[in-house]
Amino acid sequence: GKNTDLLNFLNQSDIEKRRRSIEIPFFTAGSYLAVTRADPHSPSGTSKFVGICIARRNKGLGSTFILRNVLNGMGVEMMYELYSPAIREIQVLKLERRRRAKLYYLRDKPAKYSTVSEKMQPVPNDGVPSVYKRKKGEPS
Amino acid sequence: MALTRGLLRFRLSFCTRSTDPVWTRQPQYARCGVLVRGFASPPTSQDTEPAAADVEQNERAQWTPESRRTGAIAVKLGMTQMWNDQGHPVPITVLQVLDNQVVNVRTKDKEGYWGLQVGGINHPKPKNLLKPVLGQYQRADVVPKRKLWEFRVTEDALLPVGTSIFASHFVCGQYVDVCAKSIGKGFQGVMKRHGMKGQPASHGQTKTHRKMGATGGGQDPGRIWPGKRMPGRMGGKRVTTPSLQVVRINQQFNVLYVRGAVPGHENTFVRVTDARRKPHLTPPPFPTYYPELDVREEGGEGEEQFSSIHLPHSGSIEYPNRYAAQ
Repeated sequence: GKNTDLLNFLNQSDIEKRRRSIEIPFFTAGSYLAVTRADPHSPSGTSKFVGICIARRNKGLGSTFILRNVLNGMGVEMMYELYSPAIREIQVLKLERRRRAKLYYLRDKPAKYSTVSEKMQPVPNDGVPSVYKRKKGEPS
Repeated sequence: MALTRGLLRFRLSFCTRSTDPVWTRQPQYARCGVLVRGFASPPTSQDTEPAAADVEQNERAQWTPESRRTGAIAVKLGMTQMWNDQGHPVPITVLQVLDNQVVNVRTKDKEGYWGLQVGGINHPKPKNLLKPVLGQYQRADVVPKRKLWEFRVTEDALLPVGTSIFASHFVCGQYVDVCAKSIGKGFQGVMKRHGMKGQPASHGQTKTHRKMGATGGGQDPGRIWPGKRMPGRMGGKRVTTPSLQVVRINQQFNVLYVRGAVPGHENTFVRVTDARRKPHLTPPPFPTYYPELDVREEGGEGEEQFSSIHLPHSGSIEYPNRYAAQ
């Protein structure tokens, strides 16, 4: 309806305010991210999670994305709200895209395709996602 | 980064007093007509002459815990979310208090009770209103509205006809009751309408899966009790959701952010009143909020926030680093 224009505007204003405080980089599903968030239970006050982004959902202020990694043989998925104030930093380790917008198929594939090293170093990118080249026999 | 999607420009037109008949006047406000560029100052209510604001402070009534203020008519814009200071999301309903003005005053002598008839949301086509209805607006010298609702008040909370009611009538942190017509669901069966359990899906049940089942006793009483829950029309009724907390108020757009859900669909007219079960801890603006008397400066965004909601512009949440504290 017409009044949702105002709601959209108010939400976008909040998004703008949040984006002035923190740099939210561009990324797509298939990228490798490191997210640092405020953690009240951690001695350092923050906790970091590294993973491959298997889903990104753009819904204004409630946009979310899911990171997947395999830690100690256990598959772990973390869903983050893009504009949540609990997020301290989002770092794109590798800007990559695949042939899907959602990579839920990785849950059924061998663990090595979802494993991201905690010590992974950021790969420089120019803002354009590189395309994941599938090797023969590997999932795309 | 370029302007985000969704930033739109609105047209601004101020309310001016005109001398032509009420039913020929065009609506003075666009649907959400406030200029956005550069956060212009809120629309002034020079035309809606709050005569009560000119009354001296000591002559104006003081709030008491037994006083009952007027409510407001708002439009449900929709739902979003915000976060609290622990980082947890909080569901929010956004209500816009749009073009509220007092149209009639109900008095004990004439009507037998004290009340205020408030009109909300300027009518886009006043020429379509009936002449008797337009006469009410002409007598009040108020732009014709889409919705008229009465609010019972105590005698000290009466307002003169034509007084504007803004979103700042409510205080951040207070609780409100929100009343609206719920979403109509049409003719619904007993499982959806009353939450009955129905019958099993298999094990021999013959064509009976979502029915009422039994309707009562036998020969005594020999009838079905009145009020037996049966299928029927569901929804589309007036529903009040009590004690919702106002977590944020945007003065520029007259918008209330209320925690929780509110009955009705988007763009429903809702009644917002002070919560009956959660009294004010501090005196609210009484009998209502007058923008001319507001001592806060006009700078910035003209908003006020409640403390349990994380401010969007205040950066990320920080917890102490116990490693660093030596």
